[in-house]
Amino acid sequence: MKQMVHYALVLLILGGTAGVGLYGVNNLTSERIAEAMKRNLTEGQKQLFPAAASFDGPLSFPLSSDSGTYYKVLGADNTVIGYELDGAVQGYQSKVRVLTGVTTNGVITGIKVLEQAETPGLGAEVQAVPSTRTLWSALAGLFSEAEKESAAALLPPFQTQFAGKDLGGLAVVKQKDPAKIEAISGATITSEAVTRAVREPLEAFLAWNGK
Amino acid sequence: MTTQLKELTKGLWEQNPIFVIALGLCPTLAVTTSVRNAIGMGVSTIFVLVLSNVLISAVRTIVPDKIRIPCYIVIIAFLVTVVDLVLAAYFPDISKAIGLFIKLIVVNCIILGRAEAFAAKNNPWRSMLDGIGMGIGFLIALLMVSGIREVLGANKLFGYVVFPGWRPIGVMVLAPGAFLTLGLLLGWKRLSELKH
Amino acid sequence: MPSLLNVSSSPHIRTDDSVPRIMWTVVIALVPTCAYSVYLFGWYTLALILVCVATAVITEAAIQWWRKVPVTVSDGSAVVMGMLVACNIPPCITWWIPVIGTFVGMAIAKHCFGGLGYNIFNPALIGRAFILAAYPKDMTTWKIVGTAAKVDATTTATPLMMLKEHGYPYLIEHFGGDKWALYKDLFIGNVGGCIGETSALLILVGAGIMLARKVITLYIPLSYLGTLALLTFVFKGDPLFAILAGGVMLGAWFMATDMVTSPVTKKGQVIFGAGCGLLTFIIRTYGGYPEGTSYAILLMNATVPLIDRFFTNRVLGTK
Repeated sequence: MKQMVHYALVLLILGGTAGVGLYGVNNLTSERIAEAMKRNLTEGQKQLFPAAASFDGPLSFPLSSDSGTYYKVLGADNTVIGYELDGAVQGYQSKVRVLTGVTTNGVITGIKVLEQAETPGLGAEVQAVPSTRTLWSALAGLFSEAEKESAAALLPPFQTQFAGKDLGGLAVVKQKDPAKIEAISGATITSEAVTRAVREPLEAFLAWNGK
Repeated sequence: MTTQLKELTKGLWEQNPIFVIALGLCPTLAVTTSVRNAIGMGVSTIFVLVLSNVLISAVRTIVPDKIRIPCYIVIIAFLVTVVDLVLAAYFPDISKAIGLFIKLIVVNCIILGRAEAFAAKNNPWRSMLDGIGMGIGFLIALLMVSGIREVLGANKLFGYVVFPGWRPIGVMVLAPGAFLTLGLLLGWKRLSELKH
Repeated sequence: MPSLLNVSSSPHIRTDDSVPRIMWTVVIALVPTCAYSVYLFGWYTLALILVCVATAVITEAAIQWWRKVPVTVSDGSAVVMGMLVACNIPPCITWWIPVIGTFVGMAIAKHCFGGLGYNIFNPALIGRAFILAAYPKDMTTWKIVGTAAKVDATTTATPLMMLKEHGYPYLIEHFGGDKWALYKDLFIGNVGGCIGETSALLILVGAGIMLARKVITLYIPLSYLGTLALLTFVFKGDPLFAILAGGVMLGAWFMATDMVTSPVTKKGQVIFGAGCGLLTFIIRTYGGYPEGTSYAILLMNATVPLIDRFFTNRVLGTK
């Protein structure tokens, strides 16, 4: 009995100390974590509507049994120039969250994958940017200033396919077809998931907003 | 002095946690898709391993034998959570890529293995040296596996193209490539020992 | 002194069997189907076959030289392995992809396990599986030939791919609405496919050569093809199409019969062949791939030690 109390006490003290320590660390980091997550979103919002002056939201609209999240995109004179929809769908092995920019007439301005943890080399390629920068030029760049800036921020080709399409073009195909979405080879499920994360909220939103 | 130096260097190669002791193979297979991820995982593990070794060694006389494993786990879990939060706050990119595996450091056999086999029997100073050596040995192994896999499987190193125009062997960044690379490296290490 | 007067210890069985004899017989048996592919697909195919053989021979020689063991490339096993890899790739594939496949098969599947006689898996099939996983698009792009040429542009689907994607009626329609025309095309080899798998007739000619020289027996191929046909028939498919299409003919006669990676006893060989047939059927019918021969044989390769253990011959004088 006495031994049991001793054991319990040791564990209690150890656990308590760890708990207090974690409380402190969490206090120090929680603000930055929230900030980092928000920055990802605001960067995406800007990217889809470079002309936007401000964003109104998050607002909600009915999406199947649940509700979806959207933002109103406001122009310089405070008129609504478009919407941004925040949709999430289960991909191959993770939740795929996509932000979709759409004009008031239902044309997609672009999409940005906000979250995904799909298979590296296959599904994760939806976020891949073709890098023309080689290791050798990067090494050379360590010594010359001119090289450093050449790595421009490119957009992932899979995601740029969505720009300029409307609901009718949101179908995944395996062959090259400029009117549709070409799947990433070997990653049909993830390609499909991204497309659904765009199409499903968009469909529901347009139906609801059109009323 | 020489024995202390030995505690530090034994983990680097001679008793490398991956290639010789063969502990912690799960993260080795999972996070080595790119060198960047491997460094993130390796450095996080070094941090947890060194501190857990020191802390466990410090409390080894207070903790009763019968409940030592739960006590070790509490200490390790605490350290891992700290790493997880700090990564999420200051290195969100790495955290996104390997966040899931950071949490799994808790059950990384290297950490508990070193706690049981070394820290529980030695003083904090020696345990720290052991932790540093083993941690760096783990990092070395991760770098070797991930370097091979990233170059062959994605034709990249640190995200930069290595051979312009070459189409990489995509399967090497997937699970089969991980097993193949690790298996060949293990075999090569054994072979080099047999020859001595 | 004449060799017949040699005094030696047992066993006293005299046979001409040797590794070179077996291997060079297989090489000769593979020549008809390979030659036909060159005729069908063009000189590039010949170059591919030669590249595969050269890679296999050079890789084996280099590894044996490095390991300081006798270099045995003249026994023909490396030539066979290279030819079999070539038989398992599309005829228009970029040349360095089979080089990678042959190297991986030879170095990892054969020599990491100790060389000829020690490998668990068929090296040529490991090579194919590796490049199929690494370059799926290249490995499933086929050059058009025969009847299909009238319809498509530059590349075509194999009959099995048509079956998988569009169903049986479409397939028959594609071949002129007559299933005997389809059988004829498959038998003669007037369809798209891997280098070695197009013509069932020429594979059978090769098989005949091997049977005549007693390099293979009928147990594995017949139980393999029989099981596949039976299962297809039971599940309301087209059994004749199932055994004529795809790589199953090549697999059953040339791959599954590999002495190193198949069981020793007759009973074991029948079980082995039946397992290959079952797995091929399952992969074709329920799997993601249209063809499953190579995976079926590789999976059954893994079971060979177990089969050998459970299906041993009765030892003389025991029950």
